[in-house]
Amino acid sequence: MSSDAATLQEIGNDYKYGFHDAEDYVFKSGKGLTRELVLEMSRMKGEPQWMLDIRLHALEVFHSKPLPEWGGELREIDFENIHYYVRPSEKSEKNWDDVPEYIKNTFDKLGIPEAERKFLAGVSAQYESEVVYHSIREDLEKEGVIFLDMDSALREFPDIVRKYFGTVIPTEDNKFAALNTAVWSGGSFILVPRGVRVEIPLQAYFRINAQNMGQFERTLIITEPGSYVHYIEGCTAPIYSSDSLHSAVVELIAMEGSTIRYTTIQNWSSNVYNLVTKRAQAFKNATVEWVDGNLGSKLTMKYPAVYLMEEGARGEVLSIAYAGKGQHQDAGAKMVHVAPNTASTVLSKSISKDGGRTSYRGLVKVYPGAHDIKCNVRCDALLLDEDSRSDTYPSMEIDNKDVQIGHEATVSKVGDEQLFYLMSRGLSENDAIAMIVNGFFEPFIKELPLEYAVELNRLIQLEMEGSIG
Amino acid sequence: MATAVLESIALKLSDDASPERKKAYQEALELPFPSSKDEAWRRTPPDKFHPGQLAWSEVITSSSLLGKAALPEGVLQGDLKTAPVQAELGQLAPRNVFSKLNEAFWSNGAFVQLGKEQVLQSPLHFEHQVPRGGAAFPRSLLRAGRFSRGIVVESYTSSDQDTLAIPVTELFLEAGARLDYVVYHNWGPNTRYLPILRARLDKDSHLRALFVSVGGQMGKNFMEGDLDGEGCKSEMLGLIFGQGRQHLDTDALHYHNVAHTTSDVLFHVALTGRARSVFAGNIAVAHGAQKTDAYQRNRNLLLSDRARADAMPKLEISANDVRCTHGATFATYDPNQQFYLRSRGLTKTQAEHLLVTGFYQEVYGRLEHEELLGWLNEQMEKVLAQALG
Repeated sequence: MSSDAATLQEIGNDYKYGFHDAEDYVFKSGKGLTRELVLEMSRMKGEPQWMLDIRLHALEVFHSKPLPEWGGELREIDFENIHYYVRPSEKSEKNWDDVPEYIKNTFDKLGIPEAERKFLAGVSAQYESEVVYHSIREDLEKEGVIFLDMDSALREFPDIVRKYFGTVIPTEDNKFAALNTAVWSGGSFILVPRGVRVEIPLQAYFRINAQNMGQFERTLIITEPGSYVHYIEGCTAPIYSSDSLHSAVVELIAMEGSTIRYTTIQNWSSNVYNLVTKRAQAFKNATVEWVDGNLGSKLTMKYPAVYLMEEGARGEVLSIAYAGKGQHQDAGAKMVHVAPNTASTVLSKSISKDGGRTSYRGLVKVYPGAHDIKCNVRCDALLLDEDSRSDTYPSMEIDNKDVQIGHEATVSKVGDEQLFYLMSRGLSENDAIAMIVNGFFEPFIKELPLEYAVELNRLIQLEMEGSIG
Repeated sequence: MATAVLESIALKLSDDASPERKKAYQEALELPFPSSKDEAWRRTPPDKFHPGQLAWSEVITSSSLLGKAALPEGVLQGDLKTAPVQAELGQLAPRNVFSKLNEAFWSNGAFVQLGKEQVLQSPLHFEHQVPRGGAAFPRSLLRAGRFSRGIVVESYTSSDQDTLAIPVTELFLEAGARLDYVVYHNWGPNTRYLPILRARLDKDSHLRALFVSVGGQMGKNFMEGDLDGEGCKSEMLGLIFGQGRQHLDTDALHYHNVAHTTSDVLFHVALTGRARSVFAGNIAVAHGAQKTDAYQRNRNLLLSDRARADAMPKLEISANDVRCTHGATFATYDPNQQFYLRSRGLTKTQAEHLLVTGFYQEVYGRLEHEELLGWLNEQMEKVLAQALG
């Protein structure tokens, strides 16, 4: 195993997207989080008074709440040393030709070909805090689907935003939700009208670029009765020497009989703190699915939640996590069964290597009166070397008898028998390990749209190939 | 972090108490008293386990054999008070305010020492009784020498007066020893109990510890196993029946400190009425403890709409060549099963009784000794018959 251990050491060390452009911004706030900053930010955005009030209240909540003592190591975050608002160019670009050249360069390095960009529907690429490229295919517009960046949505549909903003995740929920509420910028707003099925996944590419810049997207997705949408969020970021903070808030509201699938592939560089609050409400016969891939960042704390509010609602979380050197992925899921006859499934898979740490932290809660509940939670962890660590912290609070609830977790290494078999068929040890790892992630990858599956497969392959060279 | 300490307790040591007791008492006064913010105490109010104004209460211990085979010669057993090992107490018990209180105030308890290769064929049964209300501190020490074998049962009862019981048990298994240990908690209806059990296992030893709880008002149960020798195996089993407003919160922990060790936790909890159970388990595998094989399973059978069960089965793994699994399930009994039983003429409660007994079978199945099983079955039948009819 020693040669194996030596070559495995190299996996994931080369951060493929670790480049960055020289900075060129229209506005960049000073460091630190103050009332003046929030006032200035809101004024520049031309926001209504009620939003400013929400921001100022959230700022107070943020300052009053202590840092969580559980989860990852948060004390190293220097909140005074972060730019809370950066705007790359004056306004949202309508077509691709107007997008500044240096931003295009970044996308080129990320390997999104021109043809693919045209092929992809509704690309909303968030570069820094503002959406710079935003288009919706005409047929979506015809069907009445609203797909905007959050700032534009606030300008164009203030009543809808006001009605739903912060209703799923209140400002007081946690310190980082309060931080986001105070300084949010960008993110996506989607409203799918009654009965409309959006057949093509809506996508957004998020990037962090400036040093010490926090990114605080705010996303709100509402599906009216009987509608369907699949939203995809993918992240990569260049490596910088000092830490960046990413703290998003994502709220989903799935009304009667509708379905929301929310896919994330998170590959922040290994100096980013990724502290995200994601929560959905599923109403009668609605389905919410979180497909969540955590590959990058220094520390991720993210527990996508589904509140099953009415009968027949269904929640699903499918997640993978990969923690390499110096990384801690503290991810999980929360399923809150408020109503009877609701069902949920959680499948979590994680891999730790080079001293990385993965944790599953989850909650299953069944309220009194919520009878006939089905819930199944499964967590599998693979440890690739002896310096890595894997923890599982599930919590189940069951207040009703008519339930079928199961939780299973396993932690193991790559099986000797599996390796032996593959090697007896002529594969090298590393190829065999790569194949087993690929197979381990398969249930996740097969849920992704083709282009993402290809990208993720390529990423895993690259990391495993690196182990041979 | 809790910083409050014991305040205004009626318990005082007499002047002629041993220096060990005085030292332990001093430590108990200095150690923090848990608060509901501590992870282990989030679901059970720690104040209920404060001695407050309760006076010290006597524990009466008696022992007998549960089988026909006589006690082999040379086995040291009896009341801990008269055993020649008092200076060795407290080596294993976790250092917290409750174990230190016990160390200062313990009165009676079981003592068993099996010498090298000694075999105890009949289960040795210690009955601890707290006849009057107050704060009671039973203390037990069991030592299984190299390649010895034994079966030890401890059972606890108390009056229906206001009682706080804090039993501490330390189990030592030397290399190759094999110990079956059953603790049966059948406390009175107004007793809060906080048992602390800690076992240390040497090379190739095997512990099978069964925790049974059917009584009491509120319990907070700590069970810990240190797997310190290669090839050792620790099983922690639980049979819990909760009724009325009973509340039991268990913390079952296994520390895999060296390579090639096995642990297995199996807790079956049946709840009726407004009973509540909390099960928190942890498998902690230290760096370098390769080839660890660890299981942890908590099954909850909910018989009533107002019963509540929480489970937090945790894993903390710092070695890679391991197989660790845990699971927790919650269910009510299958209505088809009940329908079948009732179609055969059983009443609803009789059917429930049978289903609960069936639910416990997997745990019973882990015990091998016939007389022990017979005794346990008899006790459980009495409890179930009373509760379910």
